Amino acid sequence: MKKILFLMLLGFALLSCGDSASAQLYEKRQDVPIRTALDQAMLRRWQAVNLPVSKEASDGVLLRRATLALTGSLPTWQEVRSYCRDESPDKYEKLVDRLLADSRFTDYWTMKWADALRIKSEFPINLWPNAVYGYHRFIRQAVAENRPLDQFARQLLNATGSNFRTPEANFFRATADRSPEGIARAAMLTLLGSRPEHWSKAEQQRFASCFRDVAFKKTMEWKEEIVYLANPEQDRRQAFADYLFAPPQNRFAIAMAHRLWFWMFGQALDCEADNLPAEAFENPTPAARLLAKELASNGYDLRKFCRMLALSAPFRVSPLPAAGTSGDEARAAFAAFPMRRLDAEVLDDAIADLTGVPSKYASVIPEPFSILPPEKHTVTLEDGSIGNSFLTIFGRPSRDAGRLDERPNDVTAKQRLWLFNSAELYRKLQKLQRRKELQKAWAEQRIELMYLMTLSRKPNAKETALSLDEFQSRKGNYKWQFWTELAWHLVNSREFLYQH
Amino acid sequence: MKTSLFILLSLLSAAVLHAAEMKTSTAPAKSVIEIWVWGGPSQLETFDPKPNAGKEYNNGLKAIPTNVPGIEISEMLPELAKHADKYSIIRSMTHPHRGHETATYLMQTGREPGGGRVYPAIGAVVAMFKSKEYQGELPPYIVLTVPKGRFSEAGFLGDAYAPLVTGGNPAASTFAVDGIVPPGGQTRDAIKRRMEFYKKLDTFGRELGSERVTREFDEAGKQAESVILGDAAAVFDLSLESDEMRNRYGRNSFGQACLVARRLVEYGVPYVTINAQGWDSHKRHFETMKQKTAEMDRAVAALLDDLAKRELLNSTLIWWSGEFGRTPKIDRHAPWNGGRNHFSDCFSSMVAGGGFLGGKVVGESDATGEKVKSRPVAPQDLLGSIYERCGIDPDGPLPNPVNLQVPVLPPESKAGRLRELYPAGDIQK
Repeated sequence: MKKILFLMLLGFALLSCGDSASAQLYEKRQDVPIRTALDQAMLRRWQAVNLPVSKEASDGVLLRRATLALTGSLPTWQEVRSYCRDESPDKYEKLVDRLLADSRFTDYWTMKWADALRIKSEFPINLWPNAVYGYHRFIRQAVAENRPLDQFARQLLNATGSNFRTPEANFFRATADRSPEGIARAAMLTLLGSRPEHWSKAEQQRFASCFRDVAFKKTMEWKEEIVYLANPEQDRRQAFADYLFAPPQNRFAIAMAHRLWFWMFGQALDCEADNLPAEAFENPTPAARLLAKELASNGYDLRKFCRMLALSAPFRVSPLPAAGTSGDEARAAFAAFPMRRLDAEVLDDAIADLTGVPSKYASVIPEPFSILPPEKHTVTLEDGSIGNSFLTIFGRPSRDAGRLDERPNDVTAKQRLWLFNSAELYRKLQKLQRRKELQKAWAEQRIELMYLMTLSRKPNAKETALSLDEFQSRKGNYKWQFWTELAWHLVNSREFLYQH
Repeated sequence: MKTSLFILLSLLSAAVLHAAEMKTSTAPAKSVIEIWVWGGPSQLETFDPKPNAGKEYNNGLKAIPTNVPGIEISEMLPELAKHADKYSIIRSMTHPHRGHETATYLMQTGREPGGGRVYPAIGAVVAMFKSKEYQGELPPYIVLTVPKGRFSEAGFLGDAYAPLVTGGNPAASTFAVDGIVPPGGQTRDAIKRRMEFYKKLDTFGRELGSERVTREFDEAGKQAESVILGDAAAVFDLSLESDEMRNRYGRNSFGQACLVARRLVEYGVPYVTINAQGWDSHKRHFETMKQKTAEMDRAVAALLDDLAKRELLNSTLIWWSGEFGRTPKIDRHAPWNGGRNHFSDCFSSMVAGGGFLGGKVVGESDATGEKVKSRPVAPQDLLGSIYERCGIDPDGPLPNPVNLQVPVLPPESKAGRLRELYPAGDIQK
């Protein structure tokens, strides 16, 4: 009996997998092209666990994936249409270049640095608002002008002065523990991608001694603080910078390669990107070695590096594991794209962009009040102490320690409850129907537009028929309510909620 | 990495089970209601009046007798005066922090700020220990109605024990707890129908096999569905209470939040926090106090009375405190013009139920309330006592996902936990 049931289930499974029409929504029929040494290195990883070469992701998926990874936003429906219609062979390269030049790339990657560098007014970092805005502006400027990452790191490490006038000096203030050991821990985490536990006691002491002379004093200005060196004759911090860049390893390049990979893919290349063991520097994997070399030889250029990753085979693979392979194994080896729930801020912005209703934030800090313009994107929030309950539910990082795992991208019951049932979301989705392009559209067009806006693809025939039938079977007010419900269904779908 | 997280979580729950084995002779408290008087309530206008200290201290306000001979509280709390047998007052709370954020952290975690780690607040810790036995569909830690916001309360325990913050206004015609109470009064049938259609549309999901991300998504969805279609949302529906009952608590946001807290405790939620706002009275102190204490007095008295009548006061522990108190001497200078500022040398907290004895006063302040006169109580002593009443060993290990070998709390102070409030013959460690 059990056997028969099992066979029946297997039959159903085969039938549904064989539905090639819907698989084509997500992947092309051809394999992902293997072109570079990095692609080769990843191919060897797949082969090592007996995975076949993956299919390439469909145009729609790749457009959505690259737009999310590089700019933290969804493509507009017009962008989806024109991209899918474009037949030029280099359209993907052109897309990536356009995204890298977009100001939302600057916003999104500034946010990642602001998380890592712990920018928040309140406990336990206590940067306070003036320093928060100064420091954030410094970082944004660096990302905007594509300042080489080594130069950026040296600026942080060498800074002294007022936290208001030399904002990079906040590097030393933005840690809950300002002892030499505490600063060393923060510097190791952010710039070396590692933690003291991986080093010997003697080495730990050596790191701490680099920051022995960093001292702080108050001024008459409220919350102004001067970072200075107790012994200005000799800047011991230089020893830390030397260690970072010392040949032959170039630990900084290795650390940054891991970090940037994680930021692009949402899954660590080899091991946690800010918890690298000594082994990761002494004996990096072929892929890590290649990436670090690439980063150093292109002048620590953030955009060039992101471009290389975006064009690589592992970034272009299908979101679906190849038939007959385990999804977990395929994703672990980057043979199927790692699915990652959208960042809290990205999801908040996506809903706001979609519906035209901006999010509201609150801060319990009594002074000074910040007035934020309504069109502000959540990704651009400077202060980790300003937020809202949505951001809390969806796991915005606390910025307490600046660790990458402070951003949990898992899916929880609280999140799905909110998405299913939030009155706030429902109100926003009702406004979606007021968008001009939707008001003018007939039912079938409307369905297509809503799919383009949310899932960055057209619905297939089955999906259109399902929605059309449901719409036509309804009467009166209840009929029009369907459109808000459809928006609700789409926003609740895993296809919307994940970067896939 | 995810697999190791899973293994870690299972180890963690084993540790929780082990740690929860501490024995008490009376049954431990099942639920805690924390009344967090956010901003720092004035001890003089609540539980430690100083009628003889002169107008520079008391502004002419008097003390009134309570139903326990020998205990007097401020005339601002006439209703609570009728229930003094149900609670005990601590008049000798003391710690060194006068900034909101550091004091809140200390009073919530029992730990000195610093050291680069954020410890979890008591609500998250109790929720973690109690979540083994708690079977409800609502999260184990619920905050009415706004978050404290000063720090992340789950600390290094992570998102799993972060509170559900309700938002909304319980005094409004419907208490719209976003995410729990369905929007626009949708019926069960409409919701069910919507759910079915939702499943039909899941094209991408059908293309994916069983793997970690799909299982996680589906499991979270099942849990969410059971909250929506179960009876959990009704807990927030105050229309199920009589008008008379709602009036007793006071028809304001704080009062109705206390009523919701009672309903949550009846449902079984292990930890409920009510964040009472507006007590940071640097200016217009006495005008503010008039309104604030009236709401507080009525609601807390109603809550104590209601829980006692339902025989829930033994299994429900209530604690009332701010991060500190306020300067006993009134600041008449500009810009305060008759205000009270932050003061942590000596202030008052209150505990009730959960096996704590009522009708007692712990510690004393001096004649003007500026210093502790006897039996100082440190934050970790108060928190440690609450843990002990909940059956959690404050000296036992704090299970955590970051591999820290730390006890639930740092060691108690010299004067120690509030054992004078434990029933005779109960745990004496």
